[in-house]
Amino acid sequence: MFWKYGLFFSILSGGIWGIFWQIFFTIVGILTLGTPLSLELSQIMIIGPLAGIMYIKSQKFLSIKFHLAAIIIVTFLIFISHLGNPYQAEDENQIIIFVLILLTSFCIWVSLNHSLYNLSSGKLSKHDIESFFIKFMWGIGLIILILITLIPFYIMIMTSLKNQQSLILNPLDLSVNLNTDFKTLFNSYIELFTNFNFHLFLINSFIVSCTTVIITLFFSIPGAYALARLRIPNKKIFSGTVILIYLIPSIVLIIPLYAIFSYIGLRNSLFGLILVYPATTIPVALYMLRGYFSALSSEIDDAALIDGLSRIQIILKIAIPLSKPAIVSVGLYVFMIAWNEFLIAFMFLDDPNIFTLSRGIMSLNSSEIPQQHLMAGAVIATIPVMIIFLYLEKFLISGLSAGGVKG
Amino acid sequence: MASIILQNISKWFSSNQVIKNVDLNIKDGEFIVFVGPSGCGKSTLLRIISGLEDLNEGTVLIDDLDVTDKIPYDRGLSMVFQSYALYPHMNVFDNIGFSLKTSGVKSDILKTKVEEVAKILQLEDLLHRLPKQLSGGQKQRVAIGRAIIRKPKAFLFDEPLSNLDAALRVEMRLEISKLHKELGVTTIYVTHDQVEAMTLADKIVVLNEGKIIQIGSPHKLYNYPKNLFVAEFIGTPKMNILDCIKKEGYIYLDKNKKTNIKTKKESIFKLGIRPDNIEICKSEKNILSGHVKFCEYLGSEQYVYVDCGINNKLIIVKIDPDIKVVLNEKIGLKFISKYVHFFCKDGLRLI
Ligand SMILES: Nc1ncnc2c1ncn2[C@@H]1O[C@H](COP(=O)(O)OP(=O)(O)O)[C@@H](O)[C@H]1O
Ligand SMILES: [Mg+2]
Repeated sequence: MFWKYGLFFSILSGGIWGIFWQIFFTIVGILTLGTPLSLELSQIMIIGPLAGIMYIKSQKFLSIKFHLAAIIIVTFLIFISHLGNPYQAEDENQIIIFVLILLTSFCIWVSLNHSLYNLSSGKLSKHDIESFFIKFMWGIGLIILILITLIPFYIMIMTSLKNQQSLILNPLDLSVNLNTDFKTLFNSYIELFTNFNFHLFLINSFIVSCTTVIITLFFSIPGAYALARLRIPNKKIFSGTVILIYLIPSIVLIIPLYAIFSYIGLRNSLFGLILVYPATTIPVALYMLRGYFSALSSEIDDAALIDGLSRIQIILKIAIPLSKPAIVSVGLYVFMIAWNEFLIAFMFLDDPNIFTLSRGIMSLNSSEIPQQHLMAGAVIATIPVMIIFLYLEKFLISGLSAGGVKG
Repeated sequence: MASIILQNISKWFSSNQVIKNVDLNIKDGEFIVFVGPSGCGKSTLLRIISGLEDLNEGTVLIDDLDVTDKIPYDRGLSMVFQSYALYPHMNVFDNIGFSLKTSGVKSDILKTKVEEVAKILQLEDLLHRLPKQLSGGQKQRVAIGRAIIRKPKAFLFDEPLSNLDAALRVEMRLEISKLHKELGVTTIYVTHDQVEAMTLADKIVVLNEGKIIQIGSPHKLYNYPKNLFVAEFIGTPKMNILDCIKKEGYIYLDKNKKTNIKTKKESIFKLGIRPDNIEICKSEKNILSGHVKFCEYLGSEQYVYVDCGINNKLIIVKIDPDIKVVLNEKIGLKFISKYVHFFCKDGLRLI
């Protein structure tokens, strides 16, 4: 069968990587040049597979020199096949176009090196085919994942740094002139913090999110421990019901809540939000932590009971230290839910002094306020979460419970 | 040090009765072993004594004091678990000293006590390691250290050696035995391994399906099993249990397989004989005989499996390791009559 040969896989991956990177760098070109470029795929559909064949046929004498030569050859092929002007771009952009082509061939070659490494061009064993597919899918998946998170983020940041004039002039042009002074560059941010109360929104969001995390953990840690360890009558029904609550969409709850909270005067207040948010996050937290607690050995708890600890002390001195990674990730998750929550905040808050960030950004969405302010608001809302995430990452990966029980 | 008395204890897990009316008297300083097949309720009974498990009926007395409603710590017992159950986030020092620290002992006293215990168990060099940096045997020692530091009224062990490999198990078995001799503390030890039970126990308690079947010294259980269950459970290889009938004073296996055993006992249903108590001889008329099917040579002893043509059942015989056995050879079997046990229809041994 032809699909059992390495040659077939080299053609296949060459074609796919070629098309993929051609599309990607066309988009990059559009975003950096700020002019529309045409996307031509027919040439790359031949050059990509050729590169694949070249790679797999030269497996035996791969070296740095060879890699460089190959990249130059691929670049040359792309250049020639388009008669020197692959994107029908204007002449003054020739250098950037050339760099783009070079990058395209470089990325194609590196991708081929990743997915075809050590593959022979002849008939392949089942194991080789499987490992090819795993590596290939892994590579494509990883790159797509990075791109769909990075591109919107990139657009968001770049737009937020522009001024009204250039945005209207050419909305596609995402290049930013970094030579302008700080004040003009960060104009939108300065505006938001001076004229639009964003410092208040930030503080409000922090208060609401942190309090939600604290309340949620305060109730769900003992609750989850009890569900995992103690014999409670009708435990199954109870924990099932808790999950059911989580499954009810908040849009269903919000109208009755609106009515009740208006009636008792909690509606237009942060305290009201702090009451509602934990109610939606505790069920998930309870569920996640229960799973983690039940995976811990119950004999450790028994040993602690014999050593004279009460159940509360066991939670504090045994269960919490042992499940630090789980608690940190649940805390982070709850923080993000609260931080990003929009629907309830939108319905509950009217007073601009107590807006949370997501509610505040919503208030920017009007025709009188320039679009780059909106983008800057989005950046302000995203960055704290990213910082916290990066900071807590080391807790998330440490597995503390290993080694306490058994060999 | 203490005596432990269990009175009429019953335990249900929902509708499933796991412990059935257990009465037990443990004297001060005794080494008691609970033994029985997996799932028979040994751990549950031990956990009831420790207070980790509530009971539905009955009372637990420690030193003649009713502790049925007391929490584990107040019973003053300590326990060693099958999985060691060390605190993974604490080093060896903290693991051993944890109970004293919890009860508010000052840190300098704590230090000397932990070091004392560490010395007994040869853990001095490991005090700053985390559990995950220890071998199985070392973990087990730490678990024992944690148990002895409190000077408990009694030790409870729940299959403490079953996660260790064979050689280490023998070594730790000796250490536990030595520790008991030195400290003289009442000990209850749960195992499903009857070799551990035989070697460690002053008194063995055989459990099955939540009931105590027999209590006695290893010698008593081995030589005077109360019923078929104990007879089969104690001893390796197992006792041979064979259907039999009595005709004209002699015991027959099947209708025509006459043995050399005579008895006056009546209502015999089965006989039991240990592999050690059968002698082999030349196959002759009027002697039970059969073909050798397998042979296991263990160096110091040798077992042969003999097919005498009774319900596909092979009779295990222990023989001198120097005898050369030929497979399918026909040999005669002589039962030593004073070691033959007879059982009646409901499984009880006839006396
Ligand atoms: N927490 C529990 N819930 C329900 N049944 C249990 C529980 N613990 C033990 N059992 C049941 O009780 C019986 C005895 O268990 P156990 O005492 O652990 O046996 P073993 O003699 O092997 O230690 C088993 O049938 C087991 O299924
Ligand atoms: Mg058990």
